[in-house]
Amino acid sequence: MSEFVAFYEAQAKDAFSDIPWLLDIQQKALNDFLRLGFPNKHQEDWKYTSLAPFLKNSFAVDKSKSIVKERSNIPFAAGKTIHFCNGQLVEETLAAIPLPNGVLVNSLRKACVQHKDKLQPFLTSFFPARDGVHALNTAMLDQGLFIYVPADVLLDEPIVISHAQDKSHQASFIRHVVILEPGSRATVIEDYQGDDLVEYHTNTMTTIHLSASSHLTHYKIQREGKLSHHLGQLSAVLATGSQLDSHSFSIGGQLVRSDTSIHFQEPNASCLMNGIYAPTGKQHMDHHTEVIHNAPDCHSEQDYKGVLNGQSRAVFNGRVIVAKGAYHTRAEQQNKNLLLSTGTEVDTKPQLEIFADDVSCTHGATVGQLDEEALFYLATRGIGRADASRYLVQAFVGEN
Amino acid sequence: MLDINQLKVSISDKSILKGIDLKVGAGEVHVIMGPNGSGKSTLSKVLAGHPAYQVTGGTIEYNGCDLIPLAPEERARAGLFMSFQYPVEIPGVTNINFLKAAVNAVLTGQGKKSLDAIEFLSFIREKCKLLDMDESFLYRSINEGFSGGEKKRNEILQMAALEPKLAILDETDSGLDIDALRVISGGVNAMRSPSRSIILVTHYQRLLNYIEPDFIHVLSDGRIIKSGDKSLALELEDKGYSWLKESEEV
Repeated sequence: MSEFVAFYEAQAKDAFSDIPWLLDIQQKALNDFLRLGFPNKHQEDWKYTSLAPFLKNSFAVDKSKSIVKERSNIPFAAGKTIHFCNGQLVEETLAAIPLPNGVLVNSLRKACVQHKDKLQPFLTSFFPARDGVHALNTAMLDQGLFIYVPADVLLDEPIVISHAQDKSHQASFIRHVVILEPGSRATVIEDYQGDDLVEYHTNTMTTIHLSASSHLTHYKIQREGKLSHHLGQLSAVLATGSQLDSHSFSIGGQLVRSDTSIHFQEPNASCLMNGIYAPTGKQHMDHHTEVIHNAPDCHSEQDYKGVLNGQSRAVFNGRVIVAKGAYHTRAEQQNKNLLLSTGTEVDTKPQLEIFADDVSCTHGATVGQLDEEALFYLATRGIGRADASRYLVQAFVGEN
Repeated sequence: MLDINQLKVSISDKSILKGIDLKVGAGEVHVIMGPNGSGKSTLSKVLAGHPAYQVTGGTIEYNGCDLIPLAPEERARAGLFMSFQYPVEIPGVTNINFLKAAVNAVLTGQGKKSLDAIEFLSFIREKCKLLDMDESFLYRSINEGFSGGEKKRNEILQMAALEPKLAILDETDSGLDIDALRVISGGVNAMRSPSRSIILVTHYQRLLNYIEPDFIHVLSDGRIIKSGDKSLALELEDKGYSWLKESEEV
């Protein structure tokens, strides 16, 4: 593994900024990475997910400009999508986005120069490196967007970011920073896709900073190429009365790890986390969520569902921490899995750690199969197994 | 229509049906009665094609074809219908979507044109009227939270919508109050036609006050031990099944 650590160390040094404060952040993160290395199965959080398939090859950043032919766009966002092709921002697509006064959607690189005061505090303070993957993302800080919505601005149109890759053994390191000032509202959609015949790597992290009474709706559509390795993180800090709705949809990639981390820092905030993962073939998808209630009267609700086919494997690990003093916390967590074939496996682990009184927390996990009696019932009405399965899977995904 | 010959059926190596002979002609209504555990429901499920039951001997001919190799959905498309004793609840799938998929699967299976959404809506509304069913039924999940009577009514609605050639009603009357029984019998009677055959599986004679059968068969321990006309039901009500079993032993 050390050869890969050395390889990515060299990659990170290539990515070092000439802006001193940013370079400082990168250097510290690189030291973290060198200290932590890549996660391995001896770490509890990586018990069921091995990075070995990813660490068979090295994936290098390619700074040349390219345009990737995308499988499909998000239909309503045609012409209004910001594109990253093979890890590099396509500047023209950013320039074409119409924005209300005061709203900033900049390249991270430009924002580091022009909006240092707004951005700098959010690149380090809240999220210390949790593991080598996270640290490497910070060490590689270069590509990504800075999204800033001023106080009381309500953005009607979603900000749509598409990431597409079609180069073999190429790596894309992305960091998006989303800041909503008090009373503002926005929707951000992140779409990841790529060529099914090409083995590439994505390491992406989005940090969200919600000020008082702001409201963000975030969608992540992970439909990467079937050979890709996708390591993604979403972290959010919520202030008084703010709200985050997070919807995650995961079908692509051969090795997928998704970490979501929600921090309630002030009272009366709420967070909804919906997730669907549907691996097939030999795909491996690992979703880790962590909700930290550090303040009273907050509400978190998680509903993650898995539909597994082929010989795929999924992991769900949901941790809810209710810190001392976070009274009146309401935290709900649910993970349901449907196994469609005998070769599938799911490891699900809900965790509650409660250090406060007067809280209401629930969690539950289920693993099941299609109901054979329901399939027979539908068959006796002329509906064959394929269609009947489709109905039952849709019903499973749709139910609460 | 249906010709069952020396049918033997097992479930997980336990023999349930031990040689059934039954002929059902077009337009006839047959009743199968018998004590608990005699194999009545097994016969219904085998005819519908339940995968848990193994046919270990005999033949089932349906309209001149061998029924046994057909999958349940193929049987349904060929015009065979079974009303479940315990209809399955399927949360998240609305009745109307289910009924439309079923009707169109059967129509296309029979080489007919499928119904579009508008055609289907007026078609199914007519059927609801026939069974005195509120249209709100259509927009609920299949059988979810339905009372026993509502589930049975939903079964008959499906039968009315699928317009089968052969309908097997497995204990459709059990758990019904008098009013529901009357409505459901009315629905079944409205479906009677010279080209449609019906097999009623029941415990009780009272259903026969509403639906007049052509033949009655008594099933006991996997065999039909007595067949007769409708007067047999009255005799059974009077003397119980033990009368037949004793006479068999003698």
